[in-house]
Amino acid sequence: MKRFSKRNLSLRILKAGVKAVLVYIAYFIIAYFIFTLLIQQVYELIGEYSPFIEGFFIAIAVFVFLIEFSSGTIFKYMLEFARSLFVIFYLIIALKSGIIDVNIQNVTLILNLQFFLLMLISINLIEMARTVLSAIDFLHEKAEGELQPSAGARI
Amino acid sequence: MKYTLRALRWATIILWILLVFLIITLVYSSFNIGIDVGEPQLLIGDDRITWAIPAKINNNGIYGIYDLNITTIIEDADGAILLKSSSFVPLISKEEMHQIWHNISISLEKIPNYQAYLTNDTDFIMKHSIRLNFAKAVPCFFIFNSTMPWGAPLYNLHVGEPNCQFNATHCIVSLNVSFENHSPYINLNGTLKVEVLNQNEEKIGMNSFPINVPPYQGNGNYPAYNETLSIPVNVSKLTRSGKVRLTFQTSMFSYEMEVPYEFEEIF
Repeated sequence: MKRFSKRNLSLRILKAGVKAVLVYIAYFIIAYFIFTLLIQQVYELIGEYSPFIEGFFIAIAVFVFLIEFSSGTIFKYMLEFARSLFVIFYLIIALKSGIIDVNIQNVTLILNLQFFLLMLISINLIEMARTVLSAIDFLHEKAEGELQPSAGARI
Repeated sequence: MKYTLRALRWATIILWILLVFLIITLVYSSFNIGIDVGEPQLLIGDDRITWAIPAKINNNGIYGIYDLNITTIIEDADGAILLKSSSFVPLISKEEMHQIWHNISISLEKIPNYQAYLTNDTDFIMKHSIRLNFAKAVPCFFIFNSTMPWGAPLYNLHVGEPNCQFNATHCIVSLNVSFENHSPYINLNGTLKVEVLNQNEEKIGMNSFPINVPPYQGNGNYPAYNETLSIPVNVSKLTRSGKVRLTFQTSMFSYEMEVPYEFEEIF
């Protein structure tokens, strides 16, 4: 808690806020490019999913804010783990377990995106494993740091 | 620990790059596939009607199209399946143009209860489905429905009451037969066989008449058949009541119907 001094706290909030805003701006830029490049039919197809995409980026921006704010503490790793878990469940729900169906005029299109879902889940599982190991490493280094002065004092 | 963390970080980065690359190339490839569906051609054979739908698939993308399966199911208004037709292409490689002929062939006699469609107009439901596996990574399934109006070739078939005209030596049974050909595909070219059966189911008279009614041209005037048919019968076996059996025989179908007769005034 030493690190959370008044000055440090406002700096952290500012830094975290800027990062979160950048994530949200990135979403707007990506969305603008994708939607302007798409033809009307495909726009209608994706349009149904736009609340899911927007919701996803808002949640990611919140996670970015919290992770940056809690950087240097164990909460950072907990939040990173939670973010990966959130992404996995969100994708499973939003992509309807990988099989999405859309209606364009009188044509029903069923897309099987299970391959991509599997890839995204794999990436997030690796990310979760990395977060757990990072947390262990962080705690290890913290413990070492706490031990070193006392060991030095003994010598 | 540092090396493990670094390895996991790199694994994540490489997987993300692969995923993004795959998505971008798949989307790019899908936009470079040209599908050109031509005008369906109608082929009328002796016993079947075939719609041949040509389609050109020009795969200018960087991935192949695997297991392309086009299926058409024709159902009646109650949802009963009348026929199913499929076309299959195992692979359309990248930079390849493939011509497909999807044939929908109707053989009337192979349709269950087809006789109901000879005298009644209806709307058939055509369910088209296209299944394919794009780049062996994205299986897709398209479904769309359309309706096909069916015109009955023997619409409003009406057989008048049989009459019997006697003279000293023989008897002539006459009856009026009329119908309209509502089918734009079927040329009614065949024979109408008329048999007169007495009470004991014995054939006492028979005659065949040629029929030639062209298909409906879509101009609002249905080609019609309206004839009075005469059948000489064996007087000695003629009974007061019996039946007249009419059999329409064309290359496309055969249809049989019976009408009872009763000649009270004679007996």
